[in-house]
Amino acid sequence: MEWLGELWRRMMFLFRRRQFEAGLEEELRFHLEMKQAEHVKDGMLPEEARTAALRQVGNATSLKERSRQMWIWGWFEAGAQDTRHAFRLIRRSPGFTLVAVVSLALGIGANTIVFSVLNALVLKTLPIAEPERVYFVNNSGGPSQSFPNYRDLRDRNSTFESLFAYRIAPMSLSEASSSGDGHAERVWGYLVTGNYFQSLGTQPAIGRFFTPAEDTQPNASPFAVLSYACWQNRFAGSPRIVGKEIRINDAKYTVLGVAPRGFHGTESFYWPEIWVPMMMQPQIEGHSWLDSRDTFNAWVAGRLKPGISSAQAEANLNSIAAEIARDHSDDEGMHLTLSAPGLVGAMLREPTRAFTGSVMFLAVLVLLAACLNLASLLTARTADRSRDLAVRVSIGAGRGRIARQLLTESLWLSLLGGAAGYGVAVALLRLLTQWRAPLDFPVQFNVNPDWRVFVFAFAAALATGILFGIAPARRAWKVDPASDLKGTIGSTSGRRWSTRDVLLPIQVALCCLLVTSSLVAVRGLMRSFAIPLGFNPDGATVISYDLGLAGYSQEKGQQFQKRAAEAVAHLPGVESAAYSSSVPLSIDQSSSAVYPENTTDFRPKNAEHPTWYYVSPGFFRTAGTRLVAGREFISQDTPNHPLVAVVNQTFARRVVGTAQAVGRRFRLGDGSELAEIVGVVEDGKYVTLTESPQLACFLPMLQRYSPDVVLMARSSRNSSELAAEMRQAVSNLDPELPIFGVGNLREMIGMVFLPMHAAAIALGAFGLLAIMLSVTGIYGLAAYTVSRRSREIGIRMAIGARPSQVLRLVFGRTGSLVLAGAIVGLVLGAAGATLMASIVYQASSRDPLVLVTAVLSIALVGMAAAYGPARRALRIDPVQALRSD
Amino acid sequence: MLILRSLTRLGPMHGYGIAQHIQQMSREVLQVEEGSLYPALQRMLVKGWIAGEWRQTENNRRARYYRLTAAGKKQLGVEMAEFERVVRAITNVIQPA
Repeated sequence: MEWLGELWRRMMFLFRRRQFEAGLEEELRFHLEMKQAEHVKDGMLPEEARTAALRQVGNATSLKERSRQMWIWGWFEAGAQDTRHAFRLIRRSPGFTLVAVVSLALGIGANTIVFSVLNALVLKTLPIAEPERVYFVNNSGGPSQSFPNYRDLRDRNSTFESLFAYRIAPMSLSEASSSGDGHAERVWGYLVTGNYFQSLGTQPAIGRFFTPAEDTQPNASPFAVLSYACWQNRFAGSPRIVGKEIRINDAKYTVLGVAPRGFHGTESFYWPEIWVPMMMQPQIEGHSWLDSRDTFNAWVAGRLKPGISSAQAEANLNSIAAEIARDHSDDEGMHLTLSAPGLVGAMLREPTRAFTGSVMFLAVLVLLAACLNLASLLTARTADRSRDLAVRVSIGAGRGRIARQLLTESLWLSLLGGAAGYGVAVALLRLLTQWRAPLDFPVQFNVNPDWRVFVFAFAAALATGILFGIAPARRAWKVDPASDLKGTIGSTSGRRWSTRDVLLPIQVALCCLLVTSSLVAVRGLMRSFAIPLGFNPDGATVISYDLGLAGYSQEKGQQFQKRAAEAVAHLPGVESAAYSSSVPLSIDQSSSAVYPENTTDFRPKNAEHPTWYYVSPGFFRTAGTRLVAGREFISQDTPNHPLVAVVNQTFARRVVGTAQAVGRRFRLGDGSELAEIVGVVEDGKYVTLTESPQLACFLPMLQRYSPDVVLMARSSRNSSELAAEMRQAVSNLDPELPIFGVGNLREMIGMVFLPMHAAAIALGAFGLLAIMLSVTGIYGLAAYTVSRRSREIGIRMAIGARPSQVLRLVFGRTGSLVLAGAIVGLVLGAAGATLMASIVYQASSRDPLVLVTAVLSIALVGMAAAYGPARRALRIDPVQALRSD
Repeated sequence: MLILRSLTRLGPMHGYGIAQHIQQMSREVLQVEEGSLYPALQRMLVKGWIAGEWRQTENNRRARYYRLTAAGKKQLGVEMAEFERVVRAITNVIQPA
């Protein structure tokens, strides 16, 4: 209860401050008068008595200050006062404030954005119950497992509460319950085992989920669960959807329920619209791999039992893996590892972490540069205020109090900057979240900031405030009233090493490093566009469709594909048209085992796994792939003739052993089938831009059927127009066929360029920021030097110094500091090659062009920044300069 | 404690009076510095041990008179007890055996 009363009294004090001040003032006056009267009584003269009394009472200001401090929480009172003072100063120098707030806003904003992306991709857990117990099971060398292996792992392990399998699968969805009416659309969904929803601990928004019991027999459980967005967009959020029949791949499915809003499974970037039991896989994909040990198509994740560590679970799984590998040669050398889910296990998580981590590191450097910049500006300002500070110290202000006031100033600046930066970052992050990659794939990154991002931004603002506030506060601490009041400022600071002299080179070094990085990134991006892809995406327009989803048989499908290609080839302006099961660098890549012709032991270790395409006649011409030897496929390559193949140069070297591979043969599948090589094409990029030369094998579409095709046309026409006409041409043949992936080829393969674009944009922005910061930093220091030494310059000019001598005097020091910083920065930049290589493909900081450009830009920046102050120095009028002060 | 004790002896009194009183009672041994007196008074006001009110002095000047509150009396008791304990302890230590 007592503290309540105390609180009340303190609050009253806050409101009646003025009254309190007046009271204390009067009390002290009364005290003095009484003292004086006492002394007079003792025989002093009134004047003398007054002085004596005053001397006894001592520093009245400090006494009042301490009395006041008794009332208020000291920090609060002082903070409020300092804040008022800080804002007065902030208002008084709007130019400085603007520079400070803008550079901080940019620095903190950039950091907030990068951190938010890092947070969304790496740190944030999935929106599922107890996400920390859910782990992804990585296979050796990749994320996928065969389904029989999944079954073995699920049934034999003792460490997982439940282990589930899932697979991304495209489906053709028709809202009509009967075949033939209504347009079908291709949607992206998941095939998941029956224990999937249970394992993730998710509750349906409406209806129910399917259960393990409803996922036991192949093709026996035609059930579907919709995503919340699918329910809202395609079914208008109608609650009657539960129990309704829809058609998937032209077969009836019953909608059991709708997943809760925001639930999208365990991959943070993939937003499926529909979930179907894994046992429906044969129906959904047209062929079954559920019992095949050599098809690695399932992703596996699971929830650990409470109290089990991931290391225990890993050991448990690997002992099972060893058993499996003993029984089945397909699984030789199988080794399982666990990793956090969200980015296809370890496959994407590690590169993403390296990438975002490195970008974060550079972003912190930008912020650091901004800090140093402000620190030197503020120190300069504090030095200008040293007389004012000295006055305050001499009339009784504590040094700690003054230092704290300066810190409060810098903290408020940084908080203002932080707020502005956070605002900008939130707006940009919103845009980024809404942005859909121009891809035929529901990729979406929810990078909206959460509380963690806010805490980060706030902490960053506080840290920068303290960091750039320390130098001026330290300076204030060392204020020496005696010398500062005499006005001898400037006489000592010319030669002595000061904090500023250290700050500037560090800042320039950081700037150099960042400029080098951004140049390297931009160069890398430019080069990556020039990498030979093995085909020419420019001028190629594609549309995709899946005849399997539309229920075509192989025979009818082959006829349809031929007719569609012919229809497209006859469109105006089309030079050639061809179709293939997939195009290189798109998301859909598959591989299969091949063996040299003389192989007898068909174990996996003797096999090569080329990327695998079925292509129609004219494909290489249309794709712009150069034929090195032999011929293209022709329409005579039909099932009636022996199997033929076109391979790339790496394939020829590795499997056949010679570049002259035409006419040679190799084995495929289980080793019993032979194919004859009729052509060799140039090497290209198939899965990622960064891959080393990979094997690729092309088989004729007429001998090997794929219901899922990409139809490509080469033309010099505008691709969006052409794409619309192609879509129309195919729709004319079958109006109900779902068509997807329409556009130019460069857009379709945009996914592989995405990280590069992101890096180039981020690093380019950092480079620009760094340059801006250096300009303000160097300008600030140069301008300050000139104003500080204007008297000295005046004297020198008066006694006949030439302009060049004046410039050398003023800028010699600044110049050498900048030079030192630049050299350190360039060395650091060159040494940072490893870091850069993890961010940008084809990055080399030893690229002479990059180094020369970096040096030139720093030199330019330095000169531009020093130009204004230099002019001012030369225009100093000796008479004026000597009169001032 | 000294201030509280003075207030019990004197009844309501102003800051100057308290200082004078302590000086006299201690026979000029304890000099009360203004620099400590007023902050101390403010602290006790905050704690609610004393209360202040403005009154006229004998020679018709306005001054703030402080008086002990119930909480102040209690506090004085606590402090006196503590003080006696310490004094006794010190006496025990320095007493010739």
